[in-house]
Amino acid sequence: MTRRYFGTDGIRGRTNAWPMTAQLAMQVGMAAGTHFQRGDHRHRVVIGKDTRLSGYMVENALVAGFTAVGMDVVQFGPIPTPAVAMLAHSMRADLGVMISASHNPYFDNGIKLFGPDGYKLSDEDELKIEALIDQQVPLAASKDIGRARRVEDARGRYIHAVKSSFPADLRLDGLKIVIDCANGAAYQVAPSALWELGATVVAVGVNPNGTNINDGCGSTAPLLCQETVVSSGADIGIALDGDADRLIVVDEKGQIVDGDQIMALIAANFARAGTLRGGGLVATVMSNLGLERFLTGQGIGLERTSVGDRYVLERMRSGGFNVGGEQSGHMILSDYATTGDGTVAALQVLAALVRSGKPASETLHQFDPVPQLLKNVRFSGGKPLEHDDVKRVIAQAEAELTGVGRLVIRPSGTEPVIRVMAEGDREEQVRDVVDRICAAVEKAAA
Amino acid sequence: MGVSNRHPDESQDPESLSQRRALWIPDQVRDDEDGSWLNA
Repeated sequence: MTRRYFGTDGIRGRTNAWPMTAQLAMQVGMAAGTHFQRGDHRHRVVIGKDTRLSGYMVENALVAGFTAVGMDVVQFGPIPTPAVAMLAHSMRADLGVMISASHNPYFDNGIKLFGPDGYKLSDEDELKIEALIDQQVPLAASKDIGRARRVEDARGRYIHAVKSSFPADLRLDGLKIVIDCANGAAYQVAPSALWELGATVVAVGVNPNGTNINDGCGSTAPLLCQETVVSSGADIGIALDGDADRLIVVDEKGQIVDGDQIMALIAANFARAGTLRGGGLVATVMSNLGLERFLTGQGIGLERTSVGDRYVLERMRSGGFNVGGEQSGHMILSDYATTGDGTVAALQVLAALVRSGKPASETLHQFDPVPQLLKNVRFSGGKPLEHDDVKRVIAQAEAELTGVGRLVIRPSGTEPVIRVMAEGDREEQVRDVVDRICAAVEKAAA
Repeated sequence: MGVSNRHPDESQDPESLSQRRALWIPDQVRDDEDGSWLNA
């Protein structure tokens, strides 16, 4: 069945343009509120948001939809996506909703739904809600319309839960930490958690104004964090994205530590402590070959999935893994969270740093990544990957890279683009392989 | 590397630099009147 509204990570788009309108948000509230009514109890949904201007509009539209079908609403205000997932479960809500477009600019927004177990919805649930969006759902009787209230202790609950994931025998005293909250959802909770654990905190990206989320700050613009670490003489920097479900780390020299290095560090530490489950970690096809080789050397397995944190989480759940993530900085530690959590992952990195007693530049660089090149080829129609010439070039490239590299070719899920990624020990060979495949795809699509 | 909309010279701006070196303290230990620290 074709999806009209839900993409790989909920509903997302430019605000006040379809589908990210107040009208559709209200319909989503009505549809999801109807779908998640189970039994006779008063039903409850918890709603969090990041700091986008349109958050007010989307939040109130959702509240209208949920209350119209008889669901009570608890509003958290700005709070990270993983906090909504965590609190939906711990507060016995029937549903959790996060209003955020993650790392996108302020003019976009999105709606992510979490079930009562704190996990993102299954495909089946999303399809059922989609079907209800297009229907006239039954409204509640006047006496049964839902109530809405804001709660003030949600951030405190989350800070407490996050700090509980930090080893009880460690403190952050003596560490100077830069935290860049992207002017987003974590601007209060992340600095608080670090400060309360004893760190000296330098916080940037903590002055949201509705339009500056992810603007020159946060994990997708790490320059601010890098510069601040160096200028303030900090031991380490942590940059979150707008909804704080992912992170990038910066060492004391201002060098970026990406999601692959973070996963390597956490998995190796868990393995040493005997707490790594599933026999390895779960990453995507985009993770660097250097990570795979490092893990092999440590006797740790690597399972690769398609790109997207939902696929990583699916594999983690089916295989009993407790560490997974993406090169882009989504880090899922299922002992502590049901979705990617940048702050929880940061605390595991900091625990490893404290235990090592060494500078971040020595502790956090676990392996040398091999040269990796990604190019996108836009095409106007047809199926260029099924063209004989393209197949032949790809087969030849795969043969050349056997044992020394890796090739990943995939069509984009949202636009007419083929993504060609190759990696290997020799940069020249990688570039040559990618260029040949791109040329063949362009020719076939012409 | 991400796109920065900050002015190229901003990183050298003394005010900007001092702000980015300033230490963060939670609201509950902050004096509302003048921003000084109750625990200083």
